[in-house]
Order: sequence, then C-alpha cells, then structure tokens
Amino acid sequence: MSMGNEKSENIKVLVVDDHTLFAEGTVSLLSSETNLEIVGIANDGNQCLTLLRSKTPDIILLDISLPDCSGINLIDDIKSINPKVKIIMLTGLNPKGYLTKSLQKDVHGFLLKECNKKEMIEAVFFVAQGKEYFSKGLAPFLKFAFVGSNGDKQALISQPIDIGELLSSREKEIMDLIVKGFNNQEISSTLDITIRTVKYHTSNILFKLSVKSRSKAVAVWTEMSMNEVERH
Amino acid sequence: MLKKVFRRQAYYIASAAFVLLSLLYTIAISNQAYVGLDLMTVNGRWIVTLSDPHGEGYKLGIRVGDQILRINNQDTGEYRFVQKWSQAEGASSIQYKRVDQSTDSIIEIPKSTVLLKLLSEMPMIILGVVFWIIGFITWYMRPFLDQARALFWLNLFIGLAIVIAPASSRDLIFARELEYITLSSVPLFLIQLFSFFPSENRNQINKFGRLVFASVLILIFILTILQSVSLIHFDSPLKRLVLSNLIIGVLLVLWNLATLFKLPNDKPEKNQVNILLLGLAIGFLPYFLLTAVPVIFEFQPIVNTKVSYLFISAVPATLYYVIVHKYLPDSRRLLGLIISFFVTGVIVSIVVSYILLTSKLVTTLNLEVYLATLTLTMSFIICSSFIRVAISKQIEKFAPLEGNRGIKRSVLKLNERLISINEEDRLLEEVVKSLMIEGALIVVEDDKGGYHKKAVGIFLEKPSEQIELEEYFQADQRINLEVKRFPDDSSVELYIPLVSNNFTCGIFLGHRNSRVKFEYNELPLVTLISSQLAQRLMTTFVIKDLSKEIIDLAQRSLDLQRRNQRLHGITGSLFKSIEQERKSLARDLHDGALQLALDLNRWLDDIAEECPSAKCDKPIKAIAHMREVVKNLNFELRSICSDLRPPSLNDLGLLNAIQILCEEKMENESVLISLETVGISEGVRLKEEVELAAYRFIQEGITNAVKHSGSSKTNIYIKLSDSEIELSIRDFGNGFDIRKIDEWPISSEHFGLIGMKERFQVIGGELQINSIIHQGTILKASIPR
Repeated sequence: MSMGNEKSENIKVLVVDDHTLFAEGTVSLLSSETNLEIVGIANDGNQCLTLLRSKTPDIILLDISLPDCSGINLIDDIKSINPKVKIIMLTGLNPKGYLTKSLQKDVHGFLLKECNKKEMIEAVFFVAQGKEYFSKGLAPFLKFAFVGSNGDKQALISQPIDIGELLSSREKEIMDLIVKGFNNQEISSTLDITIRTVKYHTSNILFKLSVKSRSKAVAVWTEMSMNEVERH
Repeated sequence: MLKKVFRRQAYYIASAAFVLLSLLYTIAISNQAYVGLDLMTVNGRWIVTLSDPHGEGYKLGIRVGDQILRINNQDTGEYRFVQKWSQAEGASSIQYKRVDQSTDSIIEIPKSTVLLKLLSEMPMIILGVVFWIIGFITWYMRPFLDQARALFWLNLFIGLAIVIAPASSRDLIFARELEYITLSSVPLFLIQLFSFFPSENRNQINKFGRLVFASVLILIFILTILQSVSLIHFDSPLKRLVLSNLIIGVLLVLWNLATLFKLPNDKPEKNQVNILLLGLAIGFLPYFLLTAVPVIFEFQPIVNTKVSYLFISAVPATLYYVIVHKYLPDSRRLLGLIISFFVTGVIVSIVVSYILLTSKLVTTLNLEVYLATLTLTMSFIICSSFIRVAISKQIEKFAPLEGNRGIKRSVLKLNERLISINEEDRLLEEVVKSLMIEGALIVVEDDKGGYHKKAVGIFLEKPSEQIELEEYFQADQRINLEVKRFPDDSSVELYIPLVSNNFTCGIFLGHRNSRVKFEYNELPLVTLISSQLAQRLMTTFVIKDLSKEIIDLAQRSLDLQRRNQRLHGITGSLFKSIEQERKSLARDLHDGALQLALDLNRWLDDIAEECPSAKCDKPIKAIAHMREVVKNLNFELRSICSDLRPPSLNDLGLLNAIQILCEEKMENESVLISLETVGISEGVRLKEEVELAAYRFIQEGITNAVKHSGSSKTNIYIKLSDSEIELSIRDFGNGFDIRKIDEWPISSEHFGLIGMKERFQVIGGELQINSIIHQGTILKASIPR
C-alpha cells in the first residue's frame, strides 16, 4: 500500500485497553502486519491522552470500558487534541446504545471484541484509507443507528416483499412461535437452541422487518402473511 | 294554747325586768362610790375587818383594824347599812381612828365614781347582759326545747346576779337582798338544766339535790328578808351560806356531768359533755378559787374579783352552743380555739395597756388599768367576731344559695372545693374535714383488674381495719346499691357502694367527731358527694393509668423509632452494598472471565482460519463446537454483567440506559413501551445513586408490568426538575388492591415493590402506588437530585 511518501510510512496504531491479555493479543495480532506499527498500549483514558500527544498515532483502537472513564466520553477529548486521528471503538459489551453514541461522535469504526484477526486488520486498513468499518455482527444495530426509530414500516410496506425470501427458514420457524406468544425461554426449549441463538435470530428478524419491537414484528408479519394469502 | 302564749309572755316579761333592773342599777352605781369596808363591832367599837383595795375607803387610807367613829356625822352603829350589812357603803364622810395613831381623821367620799372606775365595773354588767342575751337567744331559737327554756332561766338568774353585783357591793336599794336570792337560785336551775341535758339524768342525787337546794333557797330567802329588816344580824354567815350553796351546786353539776364522762366514745352526747365540762370548768373554777373561797374563809381575795367573774362568760357561751347547735365541733378543737381566743385577748390587752402607759393616757400601770383594757379588748374581739359572723350569715341569707342547713351548705362548699382539688389525697381529706368525720376509706376497682384504695383519718392509722373493710367490699355483691349503716361499735358509720361504667367503688365513712349520726334525710346528700368524690377519684385513676400508658407507649414508640432508624440505616447500607457488590462482580466478570473468553474466541477463530482444510474432520468439528461454546459463554457473561449492573448506565447516563432497557424489553417481550421525557436529555448526568435508583425503579416497574399486568402497553414518563426527578410507569392491565400492599408477605414475588419503597426512603425519595383492578397500575416515584 503505497500512497505517496508520507503515506508509505507505517500506520501508527495506539491500543487503549486495560485488559492486558486482550490488549497483548491485539498487539501480537497487528504486529504481524508489516505496514502497521503499534506505538503503545494505554491502560486508561489518561494514558491514552498522554500517548496521543507523544506518539501521534494515526489510529486509536479504543475500548469502551476503561477503569477511569468511558471510551465514549474520551472521543471528544481525543478529537480536541488531535482532530485528524481516526478512532475505532472496541467493545466486549453489548453494542446497543454505544454504537449510536459513537456514530454521533463521528468515530470511524466499531469493532466487537469477538471479531477475528482478519476483521480487525481489515478495519485498521479501511479506516487508515479514510473509510469506515463496522463489525459484521453489528448489522442489526446499524440500521436503527442510521435510520432512527420512525419511518421504517412505511418503507417496507410500500414495496411488496416476498416474505418467503425475506426470512430464513429458521427465522420463520421462530417468528411463528413469536406470533403464538412464546417467549425466548419457551422458544429456546421448543427448538432446542440456546437463548443466545434465539435472541440472535430475533434481532435479525426485527432488523429484516424493520421494526424495533416484538409486538410490531408480530403485527407486520401477520399483515404480510395476509397480503401473501390474498396474492395467491 | 293560751298557756303557751302565756309562757312565751313570761320570757319577754322576765327579759324586760332584767333589762330594767340592769339599767336601774347601772345608773345607780354611777352615782355612788364603792367604799369597800366591812365592819365588826368589838366591845362597842366598830373595827374594819375588810378593806377592799378597790374601794374608796382603802384608797383614802382606811386599813383593816382601823376604828370607824362616825359615818355621815352619825354614830357608826346607827348608820343604816352598818346596822343592816355591817358595811359603810353609801357614806359621804367617815371619821376614823387609825390603829397606830390616837388622833381621828375625817375623809370625804366622792359623790359619784370616776369614769375609769365605772368602766372597770362595766365588764360585770356586760357579762350579766351577755348571759341574759345568750339565754334569750337560745330560747328564741329553740323555744320548744326544754333545755333551751331551762337555760333561759338559768342564764337570766346568773346574769341578774352578776349585773347587780356592783350594786350589791354598794348596798344599793335591795341589791344585796336580790343578789343573795338570785345567787341561791342558780344551783337549782343548774341542776334542773343538767338533769335532762345533755342526756336524761334524773337520778336520786339530782332529785335529792334539787330538794335540798330548793330548801336552802327558801331558807336564804327568809334569812335575807329578816336581815334586811334588821331583825337578825347574820350578815357574814349569810354571805358565806350563799356562796357555799353556789359552790356546792356547781360542784354537784360538774360531778353529774363527770358521771356522763364514762359514756361510750361513739355517742354524740360524749362530745357535748366534753364541751360542757370544759366550759363550766373554765367559767366557774376561777371564780370559786379566787373570789368565793376567800370570802367564805374570810381572807383577802387573791386577785381582783372581777377577773374571776370574766371567766364565767365561758359558761353561757358553751351552754348556748351545745344546745343551739346540733352539729358540734370536735371538743378538742374547740379547746384549742378558746385558748387561742383568750391568749389573743390577754396579749392584746397587755400591749394596749402598755401603749396607754407610754402615751401617758394613764399614769400608773396597775391591775385595774389592765383589767379595764382586757375588758375592752376582749369585748372588742368578741364583738367583732360576732359582727363578722352576723354579717356573713346575712350575706348567706341573701345569697342565692337557699341551702341553710349546715350539712347541705358544707356539702355544697365541699363539692366546689372537690372540683378544684386535683390530688386524690387531698380530695378525701377535704371530705373528711367538711363532713367532720373521723376518717374515710375508698376502694375503687375497674373491670380491667385495676385496684385502688385510699384511706384517711382513723382508717389510715389502722391497716388491719382497712383489710377488713376491703374484704367486706370484695364480698359485697353490689346488687343493692343502698347506703348501709354499720353497727355503733364499728368505726364505720356508713358504707356507700357505687357502680359506674367500668368501675365499682365502695366508700366507707367514719363517725362524726361529734358522734351525731347522719340522719336519713342527709344520706342523699352524703351519697351524692361520695359519688362525686368517687367519680373524681376514678377520673384521677383513669388519667393516671392513661398517662402511664402514654408514657409507656411514647417510650415504646421512641424505641421503635430508634430501631426503625437503625433498620433504615441498615437497609440503606444493605442496598448500597448490594449495588456495590453487583457492580464489582460485574466488573470482575467483565474484566476477568469475559476478556479471557474473548481471547479464547479470537484464538479459536484464528485456528479455524489457519487450517480450513485439515485432513481430519474431527478437529474441525471440535473447533467449530468450541467456538460456539465460547460464543455462548461470552453471551452468558455479558448478560450476567448487564443484569448485575448495566454498563450503559455508567457510561451513557440514565436516559440512554433506560432507552436501551426499553428496546431490549420490546425485543424480547410482547410489549410496547412509550417513553416520554421532560427536562432531561441524553447528555444529562445525575448523581450515581439517583441514576441507579431511577434506573432500578424503571427496571422493576417494567418487569412487573410485563410479568403481572398482562398489559401489552406500558407508558414511562420522566420529568427532571431543579430539585428532583419524577418517574412514573403506567400499565393498563389487571391492577390490584392497593389496600393489601401492607399485607403482602415479603416474598420474592413482591419484594421488588416493597424493597423499592424501602430504598426510596433511604435516599429521601417517595414512592406512590396507585392501582385500580382491571384498569391498571401507576407507580410514581420522586427522588431528590
């Protein structure tokens, strides 16, 4: 990746994470790439700002949960010191809420700590090139983060969608149970899958139906099924 | 009828005669000086045998043993009064020869007495008049009482004897004759009076005594007449006979009274006898000892005769009192009263005479002056107290209270006093004092087993008797609530049982001090006042019990309050430490286990990536399974962390955290949540404990709504003001009976709301729960910022 003289230099990355094991893993993971240079590991917000001034990193991998502050709140401080620095948020938590907040603050990327090596490296290079990068698992959250909570339903209803293609067979299975009024626990035991899987599918269903709540999903799904029956 | 009228007339006539005689002799004595010389003929010469120091003769220098030569220019033996009574009264000039001198001297007796002299005679006259007045009043107040009539005559004669004493000593017109006769009749009247007073006492001695004294009276009468016409010359023996007769008569009466002294203590007469004995002894003994006995035995009187006369005033006073007043004071108290009265008089007159001396109104301080002042002060004291009594009686008469009877009045007064007395000890004492009884015992029992008793007077002194009476009270069924009279030998006279709402009560009243029995028509009043007393006492007891209970309750509530405060403290710190625990547990899981699992996940990913086409199928499957397990592990750990302490609350603030909470709920439950906010935006941060409490409230509220209400819709409203944050959650579901909240067991099902209430109290917040069955529930909370 040669982008001019200056750009040909290594991309300087600052890792901000107090979880030593994970931080070191990240470092070892990134240092295998030739064009990347890890300029330091900060264990808290304070250290992050210090290293930001001294090492002038290009990219900051910023964990949200830090011992002295929240990574979200650190974004503004970082930008006030160096507006050009690019920030990739990193979290092991449920990204709900954080994602929206981060996007409001114009971060360049958002990674879940569950992501694999490829994803992380891809993210660093994407962001270094001025693009944005979001973990694959964030898809259901992203929709709402950009669109907001209103105006989703009309968009869906205005253009008829083949419901047979919209949801996967597993999702349909779960949706039927939801319509019957099953809760997650019941669905999990009925289908013999973990609650995590149920939740995963549920949030995918809601994403695909462009709704935020189960009750609306039920309403939309029922309406769609009725239309489907009428069409045939 | 005619006889009665006539008899009434007789009293008036006698009284009029008395007044007339008193006036007559008073005027007479003011016109003639008292010479005070008794003479005796020895070998044809008239020798002075007695020279009264108060007489003019003594003052002008005549002493015992001097020879009187001529009186009024007559030979002594031919002077009228010397012939009659061997006395030189009425003389205007006396020629005499002293024992130790050979020359004669002539003295002129002044025509009339000086004012001071007359004044010193006045007590006698006043005393006499007092006798008569008292007798008259007694008769007037109780005209049909035999005792009163006897007293009238007795007093009339005594009074007359006293009134004419000064005249008699001057040998004025028949005064001496009248004096002898009246004095001699006194014993007869005395015996007459005391033969049926205070109790019937017509024994042989009285009968015989009356006979003897009547004979003596007749004898003296005859002798006096003979002496008066100078047929005989027994003047000295006659005088002694009269006095002896009087003394014997009085002594007989005293002895008669003394026999009554052995009357049992519980008879009212006993008290009367005591008082009478007291009065008669005070009245007569000084006169006998100081005047009569010296005269009989022919030696100089020890003290001025008039002093001894003064004491006699006690006699009519006591007699009057005992006869007229049915309810007599305690004789012992009376004695104290009399003594104080007398001592006051004596002291005041000493002071007055001293003042007279220092202010030079009198030149010398002698017995005569003192006597005069004593007379004046005593009569002043007596008159002023009479006037006071009269005025107060008049006021009472015209006052609206019609109750003129003693008992009624004292009961009314007592009732007034009872209202103002607050201490139960004094209540009972006041009753005892006012009813003039020896003691009282009250026993009060309430239906809750409370038992009180109170004793004063004799019952206080005898605990054994108290116990007996209490046993009587216990045994009494109180079916018949009538006043019961106890036998005379008991120390109780009346037993008054009372039953009111929650109380049963027994009042035992002792005998009157005077031993006069309570009459039947007095019993209602006595019962009334007793019930008043009982009511007051019961009230006092109730108040006492109540105040004890109140103090007890106050103490208990104070203890409870303290314990509550402690509990609050404990609850507060409990909540705090629970949250702290959860927080640190979440952090530990997040920083430890979760990070490890994430690392593990990454390595597994890496391995899966590195060897996608491994020859052996088994490791790939194993790795795939392990990845799934790690993902589940991550998920579980994250859920646990989130449940323990949502990181979003700390990182993003209350509103974001609540939004996330709502979204998750809507995703996972079939419920629609609407969130309305006023005055709060996403960036607003509050104190950690406030945010936490608010978040937990919303969390709990939503969970409850989803779990129990059955409502598919929940509204959340948040309003932030300067001082507090208001939160409310409303569902439209089943609702519940809010009256039963306090009865809810603190089980896990209800712990949420109850715990929430506790939690809010700790941080000074408030929680309101409103619910209507089938309409839904509103939870409202306010937390100070």
